[in-house]
Amino acid sequence: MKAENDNNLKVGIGIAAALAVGILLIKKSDNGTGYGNDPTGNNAYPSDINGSFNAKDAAEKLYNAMRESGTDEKAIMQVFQTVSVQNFIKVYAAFGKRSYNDQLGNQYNFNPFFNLPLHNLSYWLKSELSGSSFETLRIKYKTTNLI
Amino acid sequence: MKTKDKLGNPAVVAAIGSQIPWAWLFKVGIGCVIVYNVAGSFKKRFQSLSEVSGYQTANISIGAAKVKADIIHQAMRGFGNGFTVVRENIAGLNYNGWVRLYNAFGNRPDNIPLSEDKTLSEWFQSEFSNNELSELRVLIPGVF
Repeated sequence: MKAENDNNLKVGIGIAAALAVGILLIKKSDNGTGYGNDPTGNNAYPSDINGSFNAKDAAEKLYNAMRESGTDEKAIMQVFQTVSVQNFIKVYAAFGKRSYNDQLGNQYNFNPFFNLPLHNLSYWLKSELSGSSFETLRIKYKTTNLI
Repeated sequence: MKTKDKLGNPAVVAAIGSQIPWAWLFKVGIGCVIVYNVAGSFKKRFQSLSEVSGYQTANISIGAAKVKADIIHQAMRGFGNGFTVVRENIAGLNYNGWVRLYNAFGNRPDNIPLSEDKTLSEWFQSEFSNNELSELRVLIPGVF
């Protein structure tokens, strides 16, 4: 009977120790240094610090939303909901400079003697978006000095 | 043969009427109304959000959050929907900053008489168009 009690005591202590270790581990992973998964992305340290963000993909989505006459403004704003301030620099670089017809708002060139001028992402956005939407982007990314 | 409704008999009606516990029914009715109102107000009470310790600390103080909440409320309550003021005041908040702003705002009244108080998220939903909400979600995604 005493041996059975001792055994139960050991099992109890083992379970308590396992729980204590589990709690410590959970607390340690929740100590405020991870910064991961903050849905806003408005942190000094980007939440995708491991490089999971695909800037090229975002740049191509923006390009496809703007390249033809008429702008898919909804698609553009959806893309920018996923682009943090830090990542805007990457998207800007991935977009590079692309030919743009200022008069038509697309890439059609009817002049056989000249190529269309090349413009960066900020120029494209300013030309394609409404004043309010562009101002929203400017507010968000103004610290980059790219927009 | 003429049938007679038993309830039409004044004596029977009086007898049945005396058996219905009107006072008790009245008390139960009053009790139900009180419970309904208390439960309704409990359900509608403001439920604050908790800051997440795993995220970066709030990039706004509690005092600044209260000031912003007041500015935002005044802007939305006044003429127009105050979109530009709201946009300026929520820009750059991280999640825990948003939590502080949301909690500082609490439940606030609308201009419409007898309308229920609303949280900041509910105010946004009622004041702004889909395009405006989309713009605000660019500034602070994933929280409303």
